[in-house]
Amino acid sequence: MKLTRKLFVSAFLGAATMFIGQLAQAQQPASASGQLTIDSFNGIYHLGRDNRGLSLLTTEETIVADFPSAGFYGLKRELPKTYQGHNVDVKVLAVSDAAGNPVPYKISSDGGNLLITTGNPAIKLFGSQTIKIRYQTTGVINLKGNVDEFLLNVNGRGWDVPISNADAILYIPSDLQKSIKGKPSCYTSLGNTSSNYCQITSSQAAGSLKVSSKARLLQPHQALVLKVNFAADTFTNGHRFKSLFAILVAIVALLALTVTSYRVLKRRNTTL
Amino acid sequence: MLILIITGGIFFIGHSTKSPLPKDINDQVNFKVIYPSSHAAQIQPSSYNYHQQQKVLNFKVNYAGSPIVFSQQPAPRNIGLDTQSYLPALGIHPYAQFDTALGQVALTKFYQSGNLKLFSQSAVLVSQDTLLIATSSKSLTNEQWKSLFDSLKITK
Repeated sequence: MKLTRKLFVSAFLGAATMFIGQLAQAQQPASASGQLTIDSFNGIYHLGRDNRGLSLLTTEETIVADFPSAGFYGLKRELPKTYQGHNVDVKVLAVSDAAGNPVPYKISSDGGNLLITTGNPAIKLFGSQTIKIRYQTTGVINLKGNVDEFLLNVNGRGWDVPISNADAILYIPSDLQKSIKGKPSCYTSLGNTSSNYCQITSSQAAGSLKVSSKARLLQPHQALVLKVNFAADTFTNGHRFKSLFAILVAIVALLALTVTSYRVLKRRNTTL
Repeated sequence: MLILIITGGIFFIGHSTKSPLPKDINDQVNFKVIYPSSHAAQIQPSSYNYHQQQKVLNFKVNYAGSPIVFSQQPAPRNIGLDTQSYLPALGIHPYAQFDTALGQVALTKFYQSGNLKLFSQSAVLVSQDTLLIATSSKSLTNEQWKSLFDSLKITK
């Protein structure tokens, strides 16, 4: 391992059933004195769907980390680019600091994940630092069961440092609320074990259902997971319109062929 | 040869470290002065102020839509020769640091007592026995600070 004074992340896929493991891991180089700690991981999520029924998720993560004196320059965040075999079209919208000032970042690929690296290697950071990452993803619903399942892995399972506070606020618009099946739930997951050491509440907020969940003192690789079920066929994989379009094209082509054939036959009849 | 001399002359003029201070202040200042040299950072000509007794030179620099106060003075040698040595002496806990041609720069924040609202951001640099503290009441990004300090020069 090259002993560099920066944070780096290794991909760590969550459980197969888990939606979009927002995977980030902060590993310390062996030479580092002091360890980076995550004071809070706060996610705000707006779930929606487009006119094809494809789910859309806009995410704003606020990570407050305490940088040690080892001279790190930023965080690395890994987001899976696929979910259940399809592309989730991760689109990074912005990376900023606590004041909303832009923070430099670069995007690269690491295996099947999109890797966001924040910060400037020439500028070392110390003490409490706030990093906000805004991004959008599509196709985030599990459509393979008898309900449409939204399973949100809030902080991901890749962090190898503890997280003091993990919070998630999910906004579900009114047009989707009537499709919710049962009550939203939460759990924490570590390896193959899960527990219910988390809290979840729901309330109405400006026409949306606001689902708030939190967990405290998460261990390394432990994730807060939020689950909301929707009635089957609330969402689609986005291919419905493509299929309809293909059918429409086929009908038009058939009509055109019929008209052309009719005209040809008619011309033949008139010339005979 | 002539072209080389002319090019060298233009380069020397363009990169000379002639003091930007008004003559009356320049005559009083007996330490090296750090100043911006890019078009993006312009000294307000009317802002020069030198306190003879304290040996503190102040001037304002317009940068990124904000006035930044440059305050500099001779750095006591008994503390150290670089920025790092001065941080504990000044009670400064930096939130970011970067290197420039003139030395290492430490960024720090000052908060209002009581409500702990951000009061100012400051950048501290010790270079060639001059201690510079640049202060902005407006929040600048780390990159903006670095860009400003990368453009600084010091008089001979």
